[in-house]
Amino acid sequence: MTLPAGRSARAGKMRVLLAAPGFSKPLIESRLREIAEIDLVMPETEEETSQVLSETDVLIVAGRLFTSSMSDSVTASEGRVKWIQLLNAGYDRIPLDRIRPSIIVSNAGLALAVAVADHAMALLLSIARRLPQAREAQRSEQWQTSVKDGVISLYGKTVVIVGFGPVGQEIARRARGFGARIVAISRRGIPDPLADEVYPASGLDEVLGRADAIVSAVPFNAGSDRMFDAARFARCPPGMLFVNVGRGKTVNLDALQEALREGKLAAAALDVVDPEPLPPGHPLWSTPNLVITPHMGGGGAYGRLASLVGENVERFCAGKPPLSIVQR
Amino acid sequence: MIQKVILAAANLPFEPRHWDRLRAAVPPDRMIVASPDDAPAMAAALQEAEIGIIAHDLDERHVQAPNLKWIHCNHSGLTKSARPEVFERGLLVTGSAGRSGPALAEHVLMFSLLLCSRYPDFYEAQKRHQWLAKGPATAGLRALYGRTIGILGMGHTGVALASRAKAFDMRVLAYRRRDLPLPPGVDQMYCADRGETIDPILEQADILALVINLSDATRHLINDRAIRRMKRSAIIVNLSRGAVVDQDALIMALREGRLAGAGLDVTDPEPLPAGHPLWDTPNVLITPHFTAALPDKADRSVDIIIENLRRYRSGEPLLNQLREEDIWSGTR
Repeated sequence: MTLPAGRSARAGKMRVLLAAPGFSKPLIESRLREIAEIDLVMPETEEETSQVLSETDVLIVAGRLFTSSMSDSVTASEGRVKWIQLLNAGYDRIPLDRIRPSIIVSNAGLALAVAVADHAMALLLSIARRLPQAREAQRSEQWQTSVKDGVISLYGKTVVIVGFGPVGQEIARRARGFGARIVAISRRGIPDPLADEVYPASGLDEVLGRADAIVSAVPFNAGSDRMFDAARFARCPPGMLFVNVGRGKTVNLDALQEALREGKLAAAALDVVDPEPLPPGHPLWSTPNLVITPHMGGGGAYGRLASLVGENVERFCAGKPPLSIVQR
Repeated sequence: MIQKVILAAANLPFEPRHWDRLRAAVPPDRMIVASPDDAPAMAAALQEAEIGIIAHDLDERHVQAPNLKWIHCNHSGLTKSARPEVFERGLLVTGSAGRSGPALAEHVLMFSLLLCSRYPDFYEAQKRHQWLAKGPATAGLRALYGRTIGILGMGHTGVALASRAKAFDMRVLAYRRRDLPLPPGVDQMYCADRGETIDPILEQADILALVINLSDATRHLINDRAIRRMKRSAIIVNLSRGAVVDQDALIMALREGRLAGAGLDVTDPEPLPAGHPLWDTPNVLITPHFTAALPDKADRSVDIIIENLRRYRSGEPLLNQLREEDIWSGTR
């Protein structure tokens, strides 16, 4: 990669456009202000963004803010935009196929992984320890020792982690700390020191039968579309736990509700659903033994996110490839 | 060598395979199995026994037993067995602490994760069918990496907790009585025997984990003075005994916003009565004294007993031995 130079509004400076949501923007902005080699722009409107994009070298954007007009402007910039840094771990919200292959796309999985993994563990432990039941007992001010019936510890249990990118690996490290046996499902099924066993996606059905818990951190794509369906839930041993911190569309939510209502699954916890936001009155809200959080997995890592973006911009300025490039 | 008599209570929660393992470890000594319900049989066995293995705390009969030198109480907390007369008589008392270390350590991290991710708010929002918007809902969320956990008590649970906290990339401070080698995962240890106090831990901890035995020395260890040394953003997790915390001071601190939360598996009293102010104190999560059943709990008990039999016979210090510092003369 060569250093892009000389075409910015201010000579010698690389122009960086930041389009971030309000909750993560301040930390990222103040980190980028420390980098003298760049000219930072933060357009307020979509129209302004499209105009500025044609003179931008680097686009830093949250997936949900990446509109089709932005995509068109990137295409129209005819090679000016060289790198897109996403502020998400997932990259299903941007049309990768419409972005020319010469443009580097990197994601923020490295920065967000620890927080998403922490949230996955919070969700898994909350259902393993029947916290919703404990919470109900607390609300009614009852010391109900029956709450602990069926409570499990992860010690010696088999946890199947589906999707073994940075998030899946951080989940593995934590679950293994609790003494769990880790079975990973990764794209290529290559052995990994963080897992006791690794299989490609084709091995999922075989391992489901011996899972005590499944934690999914799988990205959304054609292969993962509703991959957790009625047939898969039917293969799960009774009493299994299910957690999803990947994407809502990877789960057939009707089948999940059915599995919970019939008691095939002991409990489930979802940080991602479909649609988001989940509307009031949706049956998922009141499905028994189901915990829902509003896609806040990465919420504890905005500081880390700002650090990664800053480091990547510095790398790019120095002519080095950014970390966490999306392979296409 | 004189054959020793080992008394084993018939109500030990063992399956046949556990009894088989125990029996295999008895020779060259002799074992009598007596039921606690059969008072004459128990009394007769206690006349002879040098070693006792019982399911619960010891009582007067064991203190009076003429030949008894060592008694193993097959549970974790030995508070009720830590009677002054036991030490006066020179009786060795051991317990089965450590079987549940992994499960208890896991419970500490569960409370930590849930309180740091504002679980009570999300739980209520789900009941209202409300998808909390990012921004306000996620403000102040913080993953555990880089945060400081202070562990008071380095028994089995404390040791299990330190290594688990490291898997979350936390900084681990710990406090214990004796000046012993540093267990894995602990970044800095403070020891009573070196004249150190818990104050540096109170001041630095984002999460204060109480996994320390209740004794005269630790009753109300976490009182108003201690809480006032802590960060306002800190949380307290108690898996030891309710009386280690001055509960009134805790409730006051939480209601006044001087502490961010508390996860309590133990309370004072237990069961906590309906109407007690702790139930609806903000940012408190209560579980009713869980110890998740580990799949191999009985196996782990037998491991401890067999290892202690070996140590007793060879005159080595026993595992989980009650010491005079553990004396608890409070309400039984």
